[in-house]
Amino acid sequence: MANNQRGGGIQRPNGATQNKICQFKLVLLGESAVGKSSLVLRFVKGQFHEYQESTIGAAFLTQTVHIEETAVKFEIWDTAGQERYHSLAPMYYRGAQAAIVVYDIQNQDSFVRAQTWVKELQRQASPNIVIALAGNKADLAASRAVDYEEAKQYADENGLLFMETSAKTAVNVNEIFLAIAKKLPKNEGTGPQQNIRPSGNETNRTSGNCCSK
Amino acid sequence: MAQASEIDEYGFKRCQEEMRFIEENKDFFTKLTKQLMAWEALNNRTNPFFKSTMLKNFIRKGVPLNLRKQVWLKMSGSQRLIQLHPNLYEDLFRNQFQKEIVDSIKIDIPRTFPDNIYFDKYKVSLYNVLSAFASHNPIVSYCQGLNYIAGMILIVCAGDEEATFWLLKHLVEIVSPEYHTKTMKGLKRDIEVVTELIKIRLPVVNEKMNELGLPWIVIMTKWFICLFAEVLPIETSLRVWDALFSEGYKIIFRTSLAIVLILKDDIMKVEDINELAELFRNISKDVRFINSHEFMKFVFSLKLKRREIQVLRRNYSSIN
Repeated sequence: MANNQRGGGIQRPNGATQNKICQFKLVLLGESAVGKSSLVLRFVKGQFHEYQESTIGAAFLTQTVHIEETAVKFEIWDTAGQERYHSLAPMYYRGAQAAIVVYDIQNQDSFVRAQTWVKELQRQASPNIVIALAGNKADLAASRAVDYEEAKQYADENGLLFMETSAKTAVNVNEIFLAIAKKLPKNEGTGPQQNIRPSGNETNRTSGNCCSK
Repeated sequence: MAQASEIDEYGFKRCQEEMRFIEENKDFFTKLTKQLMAWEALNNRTNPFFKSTMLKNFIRKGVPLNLRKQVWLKMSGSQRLIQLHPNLYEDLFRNQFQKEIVDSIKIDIPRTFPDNIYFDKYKVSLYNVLSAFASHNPIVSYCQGLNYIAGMILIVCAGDEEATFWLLKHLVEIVSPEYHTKTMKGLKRDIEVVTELIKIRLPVVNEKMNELGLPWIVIMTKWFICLFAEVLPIETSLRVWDALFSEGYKIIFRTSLAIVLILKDDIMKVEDINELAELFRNISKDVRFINSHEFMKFVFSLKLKRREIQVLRRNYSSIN
């Protein structure tokens, strides 16, 4: 059912010898009920549920997007939003090469919380992590509480990708993942952070480069 | 023979795998009927649920839905507590609930069992029970995941809020202490304990998990927080709860170990983290878990001493 090409980008016929596959770990963070799981569900399965069940701990899914000759496979770690699950979060963002920090455009508090997540990632996550800020529920702009301009300015100042998204209408969902995919380093040997897997008790291991020909 | 209904007796939609299991295992239902008759006979006695080895064994074979509330209340000691504190639940509503907490509960109400066809009528009760519990136990307050536990109890208790409150209190405070608090100290400790049990019993599987890079805590947080609700198939999770109310926390460890043992060959065959996550995600659709009789038999057959858990708990209690 999952259509690997849906992520956008340029479709490539199978068997094109120049195709590269890159795998990246991406984590979703943000306050409870801002739409993290809904963004993932829209991106991975093209679906939307008005009442998405709350995520306990974390959920894990994958999806691939294509950029020119490269297939970018995202390992997506979707996390629980409630504050008390916060102490488990480092385990999820450890070794992540990308993060989407999500807030609800109707909820100022969730925007403040998103900024806290960004700070934490900048301090604790891999130094080269690509961070995107998603102002979700853009379809409900009529009850907007966070200005587009304000969020955009914050994102620019902090070097974040930024889009307002709607998991419900699909606006900017593929686009934000694609933008991240474009920004991620896809050359061989681009750094030791590639493909670091999370692990419970031991230190991170590296398992070579992200890309294979 | 009539075809199995697509909706189970709790109001959940059955998956295809469960439909197929029902079609192919008529003897499973013969067993259920026999068991129901035995329980009816027991229930007709003067003091039916007197705690005894016989009752424990009856419960291990599963409590029929119509007797579950009664048996759970009795075995957990909640029935006695209700008699001792008959107004406690009602009185909790005299206080103003904290807005911030109530708001976080409200977010989760429509997200609890959205596909269950009966659950709409329990939503107000779910809100009441969770808010009352949060105010009664400020250390736990509200933790996401309690909505599933309280929701399942409400379904079993046909909307009896007071019974649900006391049974929830028992599971959260006695059976899974400090799992749902702000530090989640008990949760982290007990997942370390299960990890150690797996290391001892299945070192190869544990190594494989390390190699794939998926820590047990990522998989097991939901198991422990929800006490297997939303993890195991509905009937199987309720069978686990029958045992939890009757025998206590040890059942959490037995159940976790049983799941890992059943999946061990599949785990060894998995090639990447994606397949591994898929494997654990599909537990609720896997016939080895849908067959609640066989699964519970396996759970009870495991050799696991309370003492072993206690020693490990002590070793890991200093973590975090």
